Amino acid sequence: MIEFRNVTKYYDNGVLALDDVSFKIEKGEFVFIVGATGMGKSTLLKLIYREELPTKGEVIVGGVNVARLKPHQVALLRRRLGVVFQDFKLLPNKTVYENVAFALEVMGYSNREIRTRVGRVLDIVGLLHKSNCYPSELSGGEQQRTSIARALVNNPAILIADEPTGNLDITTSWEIMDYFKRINARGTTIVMATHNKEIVDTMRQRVIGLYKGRIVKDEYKGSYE
Amino acid sequence: MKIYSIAFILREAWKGLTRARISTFAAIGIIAFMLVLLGTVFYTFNVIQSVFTGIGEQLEIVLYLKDGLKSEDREILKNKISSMEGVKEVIYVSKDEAWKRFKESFKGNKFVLEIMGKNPLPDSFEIKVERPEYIEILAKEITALPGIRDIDIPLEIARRVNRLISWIEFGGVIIVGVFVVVSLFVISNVIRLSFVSRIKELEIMQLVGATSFFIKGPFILEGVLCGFGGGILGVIVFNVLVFLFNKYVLSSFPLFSGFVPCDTLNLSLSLILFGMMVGGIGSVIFLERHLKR
Repeated sequence: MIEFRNVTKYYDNGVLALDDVSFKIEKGEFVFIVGATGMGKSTLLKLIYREELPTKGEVIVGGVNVARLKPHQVALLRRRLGVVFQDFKLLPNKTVYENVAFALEVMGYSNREIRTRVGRVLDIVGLLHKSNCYPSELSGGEQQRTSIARALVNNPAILIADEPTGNLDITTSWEIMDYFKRINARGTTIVMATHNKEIVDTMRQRVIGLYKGRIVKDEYKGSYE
Repeated sequence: MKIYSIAFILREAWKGLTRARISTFAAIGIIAFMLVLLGTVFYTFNVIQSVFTGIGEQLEIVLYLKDGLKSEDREILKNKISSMEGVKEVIYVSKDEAWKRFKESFKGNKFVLEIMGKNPLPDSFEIKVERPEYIEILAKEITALPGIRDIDIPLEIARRVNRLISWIEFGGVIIVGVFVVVSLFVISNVIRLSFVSRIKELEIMQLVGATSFFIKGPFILEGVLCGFGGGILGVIVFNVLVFLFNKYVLSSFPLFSGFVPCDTLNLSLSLILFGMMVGGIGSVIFLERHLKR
């Protein structure tokens, strides 16, 4: 599903973010990317959804080398990925419903189809009753669930999450992880960057550890340390 | 699929315009202001130019005919001159008519009239030209014609007027050009800045897999609509100003008597189109700058 082949990433300012990284993630896996801030976690994720391009090496997602994609194909790639962020990235002037519907509108879905799909996904994250609320009227957890709903609304094969619990308290974080577990159980591959030790240790999933841009560990049923 | 796409772009552009009303109004106001300025500068040069062209039009070549020229020959000569390029009108002034005018202008001056005695004036043609720059060319052609006793050409004045008009035209092109560039800069920046608060929207659209058509469409349409709004408002204000100018200023200065108020329809349409175009350009600049890859 996702493969990194000897990927090295230098930013324009000369910072080395990833140094000869190789790994493979199969369909349906749940993978934590761990490491302290600045160790390359976000860069690794950005390479998957092609926000960044590798300086050296290849990133293969769903069988294609993302560096070779034309702009139009990048858009199509992103429709097969759902991305969730620490800061939610919701549009403040759109309601919960509109924020989720937005992802389908830009793909050109019909209004009826949008209504059905958005309703279904808001039900999954338990926000149907808050459809008409604006992000500012929601708690952090609810905002994150909205962004998860948006990420899931097009049934992506892969869910990418960059510190999704970074802004949330521990109870809410567990709530989010609960949704992630269920999403994963339905067959969606999940790649989640985090430095939350408790979550990683409890979930007992595959753990890829980064230190100064290099993979320092890759364990199944691993822990943070 | 297509219809939903177009509906989406229209809806998003409309939401964008109506959501931040104050910033939309500010942008439209600034665009209107720039267009009024641009139109006024353009119009002013138009007025100045046509005033001087009007002065040039009053210049005329006077052609004195040989005595005893037959009336058929005179007619032939007149037709010949009328058909020359740049000739607007040829008026025949008979010697009697000329003498009458002379006496009229020296009425009360017995001395002059006594010296002149009998009518010494010849028949003549007064030749009006379409534009003063024709005077010099025509003078040569006309002098070569037969049956002419003398010719009176306001050559020096014509040259000066011509020089002045070409300077005015040159200056007009430069200044209007500068104003076009300035308003292009100001309007495109107003549009660009009005979008800055929405960079996040671009990022999210890209993340959820919107193609560039979907991302750019609403912004470009919004910029063009803003330009259109500014254009309409600007053109209304501009035409009111022109109306007031024509009514109060133009009529009270004899200098402008030769000036026929020019039609502002084409200029107005151009201003609106310019506003729409530059609004679109502002959107494109914004998108180019903030849309990654």
